[in-house]
Amino acid sequence: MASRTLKRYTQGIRPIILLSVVLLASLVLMSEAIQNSEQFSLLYSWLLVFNVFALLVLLALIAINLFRLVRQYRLQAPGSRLTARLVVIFVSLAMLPVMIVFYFSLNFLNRGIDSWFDVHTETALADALELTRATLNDRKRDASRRSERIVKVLSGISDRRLPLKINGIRHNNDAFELTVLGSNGRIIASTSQAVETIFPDLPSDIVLAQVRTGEPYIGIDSIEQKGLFIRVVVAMANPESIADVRILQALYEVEAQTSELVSDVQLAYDEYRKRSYLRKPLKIIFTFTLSLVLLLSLLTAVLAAFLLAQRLVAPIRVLAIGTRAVASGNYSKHLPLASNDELGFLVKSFNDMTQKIALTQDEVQRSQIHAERQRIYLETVLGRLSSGVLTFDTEHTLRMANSAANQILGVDLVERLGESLTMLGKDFPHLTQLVESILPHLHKVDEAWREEVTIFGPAGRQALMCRGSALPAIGEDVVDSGFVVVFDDMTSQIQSQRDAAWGEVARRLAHEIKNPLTPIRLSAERLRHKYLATMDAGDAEVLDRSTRTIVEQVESMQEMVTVFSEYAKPPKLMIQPIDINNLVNSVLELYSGYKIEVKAELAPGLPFINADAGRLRQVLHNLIKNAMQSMGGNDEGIVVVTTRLRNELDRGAVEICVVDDGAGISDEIIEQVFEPGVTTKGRGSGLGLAIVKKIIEEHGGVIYAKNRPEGGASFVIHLPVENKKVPKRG
Amino acid sequence: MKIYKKNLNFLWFFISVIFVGVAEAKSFFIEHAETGLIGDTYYLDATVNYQLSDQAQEALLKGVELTFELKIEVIRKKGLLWLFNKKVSQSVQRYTLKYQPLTQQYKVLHINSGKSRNLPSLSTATWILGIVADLPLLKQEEVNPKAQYVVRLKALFDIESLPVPIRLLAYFAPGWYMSSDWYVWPLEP
Ligand SMILES: Nc1ncnc2c1ncn2[C@@H]1O[C@H](COP(=O)(O)OP(=O)(O)OP(=O)(O)O)[C@@H](O)[C@H]1O
Ligand SMILES: [Mg+2]
Repeated sequence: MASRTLKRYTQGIRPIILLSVVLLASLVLMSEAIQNSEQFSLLYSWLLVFNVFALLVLLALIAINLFRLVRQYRLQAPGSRLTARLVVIFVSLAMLPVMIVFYFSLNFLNRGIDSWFDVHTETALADALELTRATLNDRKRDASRRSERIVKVLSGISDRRLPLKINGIRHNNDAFELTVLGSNGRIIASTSQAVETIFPDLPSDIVLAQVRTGEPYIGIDSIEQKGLFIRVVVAMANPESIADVRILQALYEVEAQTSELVSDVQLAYDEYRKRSYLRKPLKIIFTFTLSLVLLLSLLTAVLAAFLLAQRLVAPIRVLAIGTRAVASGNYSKHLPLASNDELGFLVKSFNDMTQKIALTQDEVQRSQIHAERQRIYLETVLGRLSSGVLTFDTEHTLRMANSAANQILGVDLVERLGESLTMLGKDFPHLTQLVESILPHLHKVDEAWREEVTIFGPAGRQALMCRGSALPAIGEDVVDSGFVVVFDDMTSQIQSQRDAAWGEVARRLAHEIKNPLTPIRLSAERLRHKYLATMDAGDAEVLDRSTRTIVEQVESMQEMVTVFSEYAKPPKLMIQPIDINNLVNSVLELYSGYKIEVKAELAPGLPFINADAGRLRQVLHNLIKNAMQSMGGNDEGIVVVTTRLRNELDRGAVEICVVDDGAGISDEIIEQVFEPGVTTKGRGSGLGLAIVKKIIEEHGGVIYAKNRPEGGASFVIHLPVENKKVPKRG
Repeated sequence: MKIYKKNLNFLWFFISVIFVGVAEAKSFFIEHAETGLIGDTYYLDATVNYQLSDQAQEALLKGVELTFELKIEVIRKKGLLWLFNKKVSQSVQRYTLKYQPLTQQYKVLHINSGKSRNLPSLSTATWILGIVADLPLLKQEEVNPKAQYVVRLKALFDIESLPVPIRLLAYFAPGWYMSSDWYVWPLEP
């Protein structure tokens, strides 16, 4: 706070102006004082003290500024060099003219003062004085003569008569005033031309003492308010007593004109002598005052130079500091606007520039954030993709892999980013096939490709459909270029294609087989009908048996063909919301008369599902029939059908399980139970489960089979719940 | 006016000591001083011996008017220490001395009373200048009869009254510092 105030007083331009004004005033007063003007004469000493003090203050201020400048110069503070240069220029600019003026002023001053005095004037004045003195001496002599006459007249007059005579005597001798004193100083008689005079103007003790010794006094005295007088004081005898002495004082008026001239001459002479005596001191004091004025002005100029230079350089210094800040990456620096001139304009432009840079910087940052967001977005999208995506750079290094790729290939590829493709092939033997298929394509830059690859991974045989293309380089940046490989697990798709093919085969087969079956059966029946009665017993029996076998076999064949054609029938679903528990119950009713118990365990409050009730019934029949057959004639067995809601599954599903405690699915076929034609039964077609699977898939559901550890098989169906808000029962 | 002049003299004394290195020359001294009670007023009688320095005499002859001051103070003593003393009265008598070239006389003027004398020689002029007779000092009622009082007297030459041109030189010339010591005596009726 204090230092700030100090700074304001030592740095502002206003204090300098104030100081200059005060100094100027004091100097003016001082010059007045030297010219002997009465009222300022007394002030002179104070002014001197003040100016010397001001001198010291100025010196101190300059010293402070100089010290500061030197320190800044040493520290190479911005702007200090320019300030120093400006100060030197200003000071030398001020110094030179001032010194010249000083030199000539001193010369003029000395010569001017000298020219006031010359020998002629001095002698003339001295002569005038001498002349005056001579004139006065004349008067004195005259007065002395007259006084002698008066003394003669008076010496014959006794003290008593004196007052009567004295006025006449004064008149006769043309004296202004006559006074006779006794030896003791007592007034004996007195007379004056001025009637109003009551007390005469008495001689001083010294004069009386002188007269008493016998030496008369003749002098010129100026008496107040009366003018110039010649005073004659003499001792005279007392006629009444020889021992006693009387003293006569006679005053003679010097006429007004002469008196005036005398005082004028005296004044002029006195003044001239005083002046010539004061000549040397006057020169000294003028020189001193001039030097003081010069020094004060010069120091003020120097101080002003410092302050001006600092003021001028201030915006430049600010700019330098700002530039440094920008160079070190600080764009938020806003420089204070100092002035309205070109420097101010520069500062303003600088501010605009930094502001723009800061804006650009922000823009860059924002776009970086944007890019990052894009990347995260891309990653999320890729993560949700069911297809595996891999990207490689031109060096065939893995740059990116999504989670689907990890899942399909059964490898955590995210941990292997940055590894080369060949390396991956070595590390994971089951990927060798894939690597070998991809690698050749990673050399062709401008070609999209497609290839089917089969690998044997942890999940068994997998058919992968791979597609790939080169990534275009973004701009010049080669790092961004490379290759992308997208692949899908086609295993299940190929499976269903195979299923479809089987269906086609079955349909044709059924068609081809169905046609000749009826004529065969009819022919066999006609043969029997026509020849059974006419034949002997032995032949008849053969015929009977043969034709019966034919008819039976054809019947069973027709049955088989019907089933086949059933399997191949194009789906015509009658979709409607159904209550699955109702359906299960209605199916199980049909099995109530069997020795093998078929039991339901149903979860209450299941949502409706959209399904074809007839088809689902067929599914349940097939599964229950299989379960019963797996018991192999054992009547103790039990089949359980359960339903429940599986909300935790992806979309929400109703689960139907058909569980038995039969022999279980034999190991040879467990992988292919759902494929058509897979059977372990002598008369089994192996199509039952194939149809089941087909129906479930038509409903968007899944089915899988597993053997229970405690024995028996379990078939699990998940049927999706389209809309979980489907009204629930109860 | 009086006060700052006093202070200035003090200041210049210091400046002279510092710059010139010469202490005030004791050119004046008080030969005798006494007080007497006439009626109800204390009067002062004193004789001061003024010895003018050569510089002062030269200036006088060249027409410069010289001014002298006589400082008179009555102090009531309250204790051993000067600290507790109190100025009861204080006065300055100012005199000027001027040479008149025509009549070759010296004019002594007592500024306070306005009375002047013309004297034929410098020695008589300084003699007359130095005589202080029947100067009323203070009234009796101002004096507490139980207390002790002292009177002190000092004569000095007033540089500040010199014309400005010589004043500057006078500040640095020891010849112009003319004064007496304080002359102290008890106030007696
Ligand atoms: N619940 C079960 N327990 C044990 N094995 C079963 C069971 N269900 C099916 N299998 C096995 O799966 C095979 C295929 O069954 P699928 O129903 O497809 O044909 P199938 O029953 O043999 O012939 P069809 O159904 O035409 O009479 C059966 O032969 C049987 O070996
Ligand atoms: Mg079956």
